Amino acid sequence: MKFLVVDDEKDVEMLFRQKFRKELRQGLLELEFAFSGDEALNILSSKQPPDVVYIFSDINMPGMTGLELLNTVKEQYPNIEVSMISAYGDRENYEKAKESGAKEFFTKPIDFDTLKAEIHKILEQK
Amino acid sequence: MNTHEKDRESQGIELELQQCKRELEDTRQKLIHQEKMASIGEMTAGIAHEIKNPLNFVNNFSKLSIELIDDIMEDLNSGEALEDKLDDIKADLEDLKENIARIDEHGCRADSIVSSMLMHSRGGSSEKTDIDINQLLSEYVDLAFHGMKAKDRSFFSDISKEFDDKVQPVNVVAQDISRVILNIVTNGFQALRDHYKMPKPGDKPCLSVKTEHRGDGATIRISDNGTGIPEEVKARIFEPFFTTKPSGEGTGLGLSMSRDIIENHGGHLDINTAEGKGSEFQIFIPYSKS
Repeated sequence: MKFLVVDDEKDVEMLFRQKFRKELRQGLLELEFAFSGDEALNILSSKQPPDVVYIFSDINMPGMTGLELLNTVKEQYPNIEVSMISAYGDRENYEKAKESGAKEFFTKPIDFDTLKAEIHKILEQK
Repeated sequence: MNTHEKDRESQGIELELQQCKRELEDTRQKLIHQEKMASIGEMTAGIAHEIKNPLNFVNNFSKLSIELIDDIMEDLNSGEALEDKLDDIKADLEDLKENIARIDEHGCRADSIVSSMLMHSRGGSSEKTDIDINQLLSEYVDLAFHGMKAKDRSFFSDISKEFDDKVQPVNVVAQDISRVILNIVTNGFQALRDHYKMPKPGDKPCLSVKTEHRGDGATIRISDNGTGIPEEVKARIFEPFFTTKPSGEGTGLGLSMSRDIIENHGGHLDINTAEGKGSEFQIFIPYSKS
């Protein structure tokens, strides 16, 4: 099962890869990374239908913001779940994200235990 | 009035004049201090965010490193043949090394942010030192951005940085030059915020900074595609106390002091602007003659 992580901070990839190293070794999940909203949309459109089932996206990124990405994904690929991760855990972004159909809203610094719980929940469902 | 009385009178006037001059100088110093404090306030929020970010990485990579060591210990104590575990252990050690390098890198990042803040707020250090203008510019653009962001969470802008590697170190009072950069960049972000209050299809807020090596000095260009400045305002922006900002947002001293600072370094500060199109500030700082 493939998860896509979108964040402009490149070290986030290392954090995810290590945090989920056991799941990755066991082949329980696959991780793909994009460093901008545009890159994420390119990854999605490169396979029809896309093999990504779940997206974690940062909100504050140069270029397309995470909220814009959320709207586009929900329009074009309504089956893909999207959760937001943002440094600014404020009401405004939270409400905008929820209105646009975000599944969860995680705040930075990322609490990997909650994130892990969410990923395991998804893995068990499928 | 005899000569004696005249002398006394002119002495009186002289004294009054000196008193006036002292008061003026006092007021000037107070205003300079105020402007500096205002820009520190501007920066505080930005700094908090800029430090928090690397610290989060330090914390996360440290926690992961402990997990990796636990894994390695587990493998070593598992009682199974070590040869079978060797690849896993090697991979974990590689990751561990990477993590420690990251912790070091992000720790240094936080450290340099604190250093530049201290440099900015410390009163006395008005000595000239050789500084890397590309690095200073990059740091202060980020600080100004997070400062804006902290005041107005919905604010967003693209930032484009283009640094010329050929630019040589400049011998300047670093805290003064950083104040100029902070000031102009913050103005730029405010122009973007005002211009893009209503979204403009096909157009995005962008602040770009650029350096150029110019033979005898370095040129810094700071431009935005925001509101721009109308002709009649442009004529006055370098006047002390002139401001178009709502009270509380600007002292009206930012640009006039910026120009003074740059001219004191033997350089010049100019502006190109068109209403509705955006503005570009050009700062030229000469290399010191050695």
